[in-house]
Amino acid sequence: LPLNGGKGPAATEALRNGSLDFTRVYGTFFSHVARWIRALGGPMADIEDIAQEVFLVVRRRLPEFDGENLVGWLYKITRYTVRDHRRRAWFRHVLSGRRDIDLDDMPHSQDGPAAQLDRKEAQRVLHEMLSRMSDKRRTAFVLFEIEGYSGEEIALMEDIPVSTVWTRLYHARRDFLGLVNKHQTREKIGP
Amino acid sequence: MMKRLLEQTDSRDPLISRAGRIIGSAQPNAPSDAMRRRVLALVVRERQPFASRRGWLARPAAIGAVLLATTAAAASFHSREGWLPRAYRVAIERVRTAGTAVQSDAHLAARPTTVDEHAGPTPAETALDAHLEAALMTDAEFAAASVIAGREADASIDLAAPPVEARVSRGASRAKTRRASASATWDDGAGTVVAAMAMLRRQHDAAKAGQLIEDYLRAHPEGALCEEAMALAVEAASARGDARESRRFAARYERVFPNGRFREALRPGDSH
Repeated sequence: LPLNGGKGPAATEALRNGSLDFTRVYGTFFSHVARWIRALGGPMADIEDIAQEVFLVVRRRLPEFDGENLVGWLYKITRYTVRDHRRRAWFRHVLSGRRDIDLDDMPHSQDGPAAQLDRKEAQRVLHEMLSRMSDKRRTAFVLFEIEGYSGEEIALMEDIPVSTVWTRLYHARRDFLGLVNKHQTREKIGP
Repeated sequence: MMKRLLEQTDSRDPLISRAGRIIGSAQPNAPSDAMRRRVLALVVRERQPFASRRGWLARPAAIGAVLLATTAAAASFHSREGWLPRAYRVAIERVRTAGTAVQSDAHLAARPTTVDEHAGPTPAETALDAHLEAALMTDAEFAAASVIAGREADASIDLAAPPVEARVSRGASRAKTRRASASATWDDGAGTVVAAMAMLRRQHDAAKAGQLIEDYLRAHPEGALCEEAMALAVEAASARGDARESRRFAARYERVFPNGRFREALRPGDSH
C-alpha cells in the first residue's frame, strides 16, 4: 500500500479481500507514522513510545476501519496520540523520569565534534523557530519542508483540500522567514 | 508548484538561503529497522509503552508513601510523642493508676506508724514516702523545683511517673521530657501530692504543703491518693503547730477511711 494508494478503492479492496492485516499496515506505514510524530511535535526521545501507542490503537481498531482513507485514518490516530502524549508529558516525565538519549540518534563516528556542534546548534535554532509557529502551519511546514511530503500527500493525510495545504504552507513559510530574519538581526547585534 | 526551502540554499536571497541551511540541519526522520522490530514486538505482545505502563500507578504510589512517611515522621518529631506511644501512654496510665493502690496496699498495710515531726521521719512518714516515691520518684525533684519556682500549675500537670511506664521507656530523661511536655488530659493530681510531700519533707514548708494538699483534695475528692493526701494534711498541720487543724483532718480521715492503713498513726493522741 503506497501512501497515495491508501485511499479509496485500493484500501477498500484490500480490506475486503482480507489483505489489509495489521502486519501489512505496520510494515507499510511505520516509517510514515514515525515521521508524522515528529512533524506533529512529538519529542524525539519519545517517538518509539508514541509509535507503539499508535499501533496499539491501530491493531485494536483496524477491524472497525471503514476503508475510506487509510492514510488519513492513521494520521488522525497519530495526531490524537501525540496530542495526548504532549498533554501528559510533563506530569509523566516528572513521575517516571525521561530517557534523554535516543538510541537511534547516537553520534556517528564520521562526524567530527565541530560538525556535530554546528548541526546541534542549527537544530536548536530550528526547533526554537518551529515552536513559535501555530500547530497547523508548523505541521504542514515540517511535513513539506523537512519530511519531504508533497502537498497532495499532506492533503490526503490531513483529509483537507490541497489548496488549504498550500495556503497553510504559504503562511508558514512567511512566518518562518520572519523568524529567520529576527534571528539574523539578533546575531548581528550580538548577545 | 512550491519549491522547498531546502532546495534553495544557493538562492540569491540571503534570507531564503539561510532558511534553507537551517532546515537542512534537520534530517528527515528515518526510523531504524531495530526500532521497527522493537515496536512491533511490543505491539504484538500488546504491552503498553514503558512510561504509561509503570509510571502511572507505581510511582505515584511510591511518592505518596514517601510523603506520608515524611509527614508522619515530622509530626512525630514535632510533638515528641509519636502516635502509637500516645495510645500506649493512656493505657499505661490507666494500669498504673489502678496498680498504685494495689501496690500501696501490699507493702503498707502491715506497717502501723506514728507521726512525730521533731523526731525525724516516723514509720508512717517512711511508709508514705516509700509508697509515693516508689510510684513517683523520678518526678519528685522536678515537682519540688516547679513548686519552688512558683509554678504550681505546671507541677500539677502530669508529674506522675508510672512505674510501668518507667520500665517501658528507653531512658529516664527521655521519659521525663515526654511527661513534661505531655498535656494534662490524663492528670490525676498525683503530682500535687508529690509536690506537697517534697515541700513538707525537704523544704520544710508546711504551709505550702498544706495548701497543695487542700488543692488536691478539692480537685480530686475521690482521687487515688486521697488517703495519702489526708495523712499528709494531718502531718502538715502538725508541722505548722495547728493542733486543731490536725485533729480535724485526722477525724476526717477516720470518717472516710475507718479501716485506713494510717489510722493508728494518725490518732489524735499520737499527733502534736
